[in-house]
Amino acid sequence: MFIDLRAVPDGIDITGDICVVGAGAAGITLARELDGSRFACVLLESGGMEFDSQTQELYAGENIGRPFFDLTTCRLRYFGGTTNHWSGWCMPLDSIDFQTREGLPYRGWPFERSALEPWYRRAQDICQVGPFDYAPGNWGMVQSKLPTPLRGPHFIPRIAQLSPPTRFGSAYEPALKSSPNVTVYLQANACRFETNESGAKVQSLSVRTLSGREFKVNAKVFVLAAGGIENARLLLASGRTDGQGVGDGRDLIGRFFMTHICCWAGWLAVMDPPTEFYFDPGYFRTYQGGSAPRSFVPYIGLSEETLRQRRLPNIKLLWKYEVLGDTAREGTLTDLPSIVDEVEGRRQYVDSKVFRREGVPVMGTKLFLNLEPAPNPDSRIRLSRERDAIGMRKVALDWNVAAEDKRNGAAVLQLFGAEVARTGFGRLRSFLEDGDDATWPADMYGDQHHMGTTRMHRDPSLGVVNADCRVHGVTNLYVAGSSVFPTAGAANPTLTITALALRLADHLKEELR
Amino acid sequence: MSMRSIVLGAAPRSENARERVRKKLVSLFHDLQRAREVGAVYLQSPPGQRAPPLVLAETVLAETGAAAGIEAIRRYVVARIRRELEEVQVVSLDGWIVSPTEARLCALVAADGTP
Repeated sequence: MFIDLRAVPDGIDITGDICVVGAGAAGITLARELDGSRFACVLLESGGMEFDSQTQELYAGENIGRPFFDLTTCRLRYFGGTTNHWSGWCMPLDSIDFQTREGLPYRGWPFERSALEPWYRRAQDICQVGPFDYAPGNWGMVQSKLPTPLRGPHFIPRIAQLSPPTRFGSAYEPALKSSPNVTVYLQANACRFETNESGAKVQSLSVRTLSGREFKVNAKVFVLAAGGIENARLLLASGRTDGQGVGDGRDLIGRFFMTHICCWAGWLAVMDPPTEFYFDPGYFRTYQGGSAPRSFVPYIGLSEETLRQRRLPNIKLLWKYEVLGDTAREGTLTDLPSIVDEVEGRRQYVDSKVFRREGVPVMGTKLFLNLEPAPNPDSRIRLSRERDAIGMRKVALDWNVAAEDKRNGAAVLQLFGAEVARTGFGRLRSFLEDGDDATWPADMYGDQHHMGTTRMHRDPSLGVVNADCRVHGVTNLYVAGSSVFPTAGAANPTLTITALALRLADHLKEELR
Repeated sequence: MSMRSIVLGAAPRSENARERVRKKLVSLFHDLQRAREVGAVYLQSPPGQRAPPLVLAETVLAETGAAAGIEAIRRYVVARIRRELEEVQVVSLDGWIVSPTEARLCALVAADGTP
């Protein structure tokens, strides 16, 4: 059942067993899983069924750190949440992303990837992608068809499966509308958790509409699933003292804000012709080898052994071929590839390619780096002094990248540069030349994957939630979504968000039994 | 013959051998102008990040011997470059990732034989 809260008379308390705040990928997945159970589920959505600028404006906030997206444009506040503009890339985190890493602080989850795999498998269906199979060879990407630098040992091909993409709102609205035990409240803005005296239990949640109505939600269990930024905002806004949120005895809520670091990181002068796998961010392929065609996009990753041995963060590398006539080859050393090839007696090939324009008319590729960020306590969400239309303090996002991020990015490119040279594939000009220099290419940005602000850790001094996604020190408050990621990896987060929501639903059903 | 005259007499022979190797290394290039440009960038690197150009000629002389022909020197240089790349021993020249031997080879051309 769907109810527009603006049509409900004031003063009526909303009651359920489980209250889920936020109807995006995590919240809708939870509600779907609870559909048909014996638990009364209340799903609160700030917006309606369509985009509305007044509601969207509730996302407005300040960027007080590195330049970042306008906070009203990098997420969506209506039924279906940010999946309404999701690009659909699906991939699980790697095993190494779940592990603590020597020389790389704050990394690791409280469980191995294998522990999450049963829910990853189920998440594939919800995200409307194929089987849980991410082995490139099973997508037609055999060794002989790969560019030489991707035949190991350091760089390897990877694939992301492509969801249609699933708009969780429209895809799962019918099931929730007919659910006997799930009630969706639209136009319901969660404002503040009220706890008991000790702060160990949430007693109710204050909810307001933009039209000025106020309500209270009572539930046995509350699940915060409002997104990587809003989850921290609501916890901080519910604290009894300024800057300290619910369950926050250690000043952790809002810290460790992570987003993948993206930039055009180099230019690759190509000596070999391109293969059929383009590794281009806009190049999607369909694999015909299975029972049904499946869409995927290839990208370049680092082998687990290299990640471990060289203490590097995870990456996604993509490249975009440029044809002759483009002006990407700039700088004083534009002829470097041919010089070093001369030494190896390859001058003739270069001449034929560059001067006589024989063969594939490709001059080179621009290299796009998507880098796993270091978990950084100084990168954080705070509350601004300004208030929004429903009286909540706005967000102040203080996004920071650590010195190790630049060092790691430069090291990855050095390794890639050595590999493309060693294999005779080409030559790399890195735009992250100096690892000790804190400057980045002007086009560097953080993407729209907001993670880490309510990070998961067994130790309450290092995490906001425990391995069950329950807020440390609060018996009935859980968090769903990418804000619980303690390590970001390089994977797009939606599949992991969905898997974690499925896992949490199973946990809650068991807990409330 | 005194010890002093032996030492004085040895130096020119060594320099001659080194000069012959330098010339062979420079002859690996068909287009010296390109190599000169790359080498000039290397020579402008901070002192701690570059070696004197003739160090490469000394190394090649020691490793291949004064009698090594151009093809033997080419093979040695190529193997050395490959090893450096495998071990990710690289330097950055205006952002381009090259092996130190490649950079020093170009520097030899740019320095025009001047140590």
